[in-house]
Amino acid sequence: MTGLFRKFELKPDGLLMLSLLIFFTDFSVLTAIVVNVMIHELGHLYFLRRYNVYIRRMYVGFTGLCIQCNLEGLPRRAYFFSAAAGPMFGLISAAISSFVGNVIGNEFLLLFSGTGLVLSLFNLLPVKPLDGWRMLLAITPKTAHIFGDVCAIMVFCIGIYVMTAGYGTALACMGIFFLMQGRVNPFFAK
Amino acid sequence: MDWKLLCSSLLFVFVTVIKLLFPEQTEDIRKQTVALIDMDMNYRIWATEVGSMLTDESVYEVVEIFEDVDDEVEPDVASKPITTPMLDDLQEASPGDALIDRVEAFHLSQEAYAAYETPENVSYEYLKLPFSFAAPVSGVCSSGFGYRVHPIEGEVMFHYGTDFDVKEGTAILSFADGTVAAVGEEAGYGKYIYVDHHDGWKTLYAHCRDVQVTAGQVVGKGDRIGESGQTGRVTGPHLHFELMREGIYTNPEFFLA
Repeated sequence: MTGLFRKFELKPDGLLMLSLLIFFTDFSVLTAIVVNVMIHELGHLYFLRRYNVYIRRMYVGFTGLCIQCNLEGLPRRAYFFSAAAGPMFGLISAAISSFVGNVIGNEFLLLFSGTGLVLSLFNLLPVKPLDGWRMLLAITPKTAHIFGDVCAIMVFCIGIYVMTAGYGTALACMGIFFLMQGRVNPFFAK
Repeated sequence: MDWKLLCSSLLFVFVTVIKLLFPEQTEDIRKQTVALIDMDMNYRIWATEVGSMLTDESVYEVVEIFEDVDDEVEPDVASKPITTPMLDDLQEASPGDALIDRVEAFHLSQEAYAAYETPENVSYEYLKLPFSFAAPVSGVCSSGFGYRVHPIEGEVMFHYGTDFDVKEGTAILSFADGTVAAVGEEAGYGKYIYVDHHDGWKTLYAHCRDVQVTAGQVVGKGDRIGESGQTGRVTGPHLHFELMREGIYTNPEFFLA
């Protein structure tokens, strides 16, 4: 446990994000998001540990919990699976909690499941800092960057369309965030 | 000392303390800001729906295997207008020509279902209420009292109340002075509230998202008792409102126009 806390860091922008979440959302939504993020990162951590990757540290940034690790020399296959593990864990937990929530009629479990599903599907988008893009990078390292950029522009356009259709600005905001992303370090061996 | 971390920690503590100490005073600003991002969409409810849809059908099969889902005796509710004419904004109606027109319009709308016997526990008459009353919500009637084609079952069934097409989270106001008889949750009605009024009259408010009263509580006319929603068997958010006296259901639309 002490090892975990030594490697765990709360960044100022992460704290800013947390205070916004606490101020503007219900306690149940906050709990659902935090637990889902934890399950997601647990998926990554499990597979990274399985492939004997040295985990340098974890920090809470503006975009959530991030893992910094030494991926030098990691085979593509391992990279693909450790990237896919987060969304997969999220989808599995969403399915389980939705099932249990429907059976016992618990609204929080349904909210938890919906949050997890949206979070996981969102992370599977092939856009630059997300897991879906990392999976793409493991498959086709050469075209991943240009494909990610095109997808970021598409997400932004769809976000604008969704906004004008009256479904909120969340996707458009994420599109802006994606367009602001620079080049992401490919990490694995050339 | 990391001044960035210090500043954000102070902000974090400040914001949390503000929310904990002044929940009501800051509720407006929070709702407004969230509405800027949400617009017409409530992401919280949407996420809950997505979650419940994920395993919907398989769960019903499993539930049916484990326990007998007894068929409800009372017909259920809908939000789609099918037989009754649309009414304008609902307010307290003044007796007079308009009322007679309304009663006639209702009887006309039911003529199509003349082949069906009127249920025993139903009165088609206009009965004068011995107390003053007010509309539980302000909205449009989407499915009225009487026989109609059930939107889920697809067959003609009796509708014991009136459906008001209102947005999720609309405040439900008590129809008249009275005492809360029961609150609870049920598969068909969702979260519901029964209120006892004077002289044996009773009202029901069903499919609430939130029930804000407890059984035995005394409520006045127009008091906020809950928030409308879409719990139970529904095809969309609405308030299902029933008016009855000693087990005899009457048409609430006669009193609300």
